[in-house]
Amino acid sequence: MNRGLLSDIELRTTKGRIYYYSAMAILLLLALVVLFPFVYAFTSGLKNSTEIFKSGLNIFPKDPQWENYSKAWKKL
Amino acid sequence: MIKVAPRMKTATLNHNQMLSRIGMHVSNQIMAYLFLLPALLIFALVAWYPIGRAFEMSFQEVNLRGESTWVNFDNFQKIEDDPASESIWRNSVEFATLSLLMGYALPVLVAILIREMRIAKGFFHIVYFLPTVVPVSISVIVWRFIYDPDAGFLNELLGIFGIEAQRWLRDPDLVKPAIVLVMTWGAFGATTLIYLSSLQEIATELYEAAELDGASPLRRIRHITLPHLAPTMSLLFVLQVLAVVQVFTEPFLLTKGGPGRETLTPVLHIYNRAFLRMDMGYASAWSVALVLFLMVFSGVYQIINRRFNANM
Repeated sequence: MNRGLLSDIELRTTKGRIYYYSAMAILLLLALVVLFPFVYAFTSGLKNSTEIFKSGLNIFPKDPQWENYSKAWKKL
Repeated sequence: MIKVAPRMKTATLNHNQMLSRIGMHVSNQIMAYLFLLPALLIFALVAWYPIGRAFEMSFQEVNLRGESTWVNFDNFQKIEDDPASESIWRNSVEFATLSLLMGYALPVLVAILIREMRIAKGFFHIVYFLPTVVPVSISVIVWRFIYDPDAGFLNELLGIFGIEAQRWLRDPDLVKPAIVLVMTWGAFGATTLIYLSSLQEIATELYEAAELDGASPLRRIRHITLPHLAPTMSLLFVLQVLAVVQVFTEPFLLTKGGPGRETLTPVLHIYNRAFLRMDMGYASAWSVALVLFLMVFSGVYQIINRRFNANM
């Protein structure tokens, strides 16, 4: 039978659901932290050289410079 | 008719047949070693020879022209007299402690939680393993942007909560946790994978029985999951300490050992002495000292661990 710590029957109870979804919430939250540097690297690649050093929580640039990536690709 | 097992057959061979079989065995092995030879030669050239030479150089004074003179234990005496040595050992202990606090339990938790997921298991596998795939030297560039004191993401994020900007990589109190965070981020995926494979071995009947006996999920973790993971955890404890004490890339690229000597690690010091000051003898002596220290650490840990398990 395929089960983990929790059985399928337990997953149908309120308590089991609380365990399951809090586990999933922890994993999703941690995934956000783990993935963040990747996202940050990608969106920083869309910034121009002044925007990259601008203060403020500008994760996604206002004027994305998509050509940065094509430039980098051509220089390979 | 009952088939005779191959092992039974060899038992009935006479003496001569046995001898010829052993001869075949040896010649098979010679062939095997012939096939191994290229790899062994390359390995000897790039691994064993440098190791032996470093050991030799640790007792020598090597000048820039590569001429070496024997100086006995002078290089080891220099380690003791070096004012940096004390901070280096202290840094190693602090790095190891911090890394154990921040990153030892985390992979266990993540592995247990991922094992429990009924959907999106593959997604979590990929997400948590992704940082391991990126070379440290690349990820350090991103982390430098995150830690940037003027416009770095971390300061901006904390600014929202009214926390003033920190100089993450310049502040003596913050630089070690900051570097350990980068190390943990880069390495915990591989450890999680090891724990996950160990979790696959647990028979689900155990959980079923525990559930029928009325054990709560937390008690199931405490009495079934954790005891099963204990040998793996014990091994990974040593491996983590060994890896952290030998850390080089992160401090080298993020702080160059600064501020002051706050992030000067043994290997970074060895690199500085060997390739910046060209003092090969002293750097080799440090390498030998580091290897001896880590061997003693692993040995003592093994003994304590065995005692502890015997008393259980």
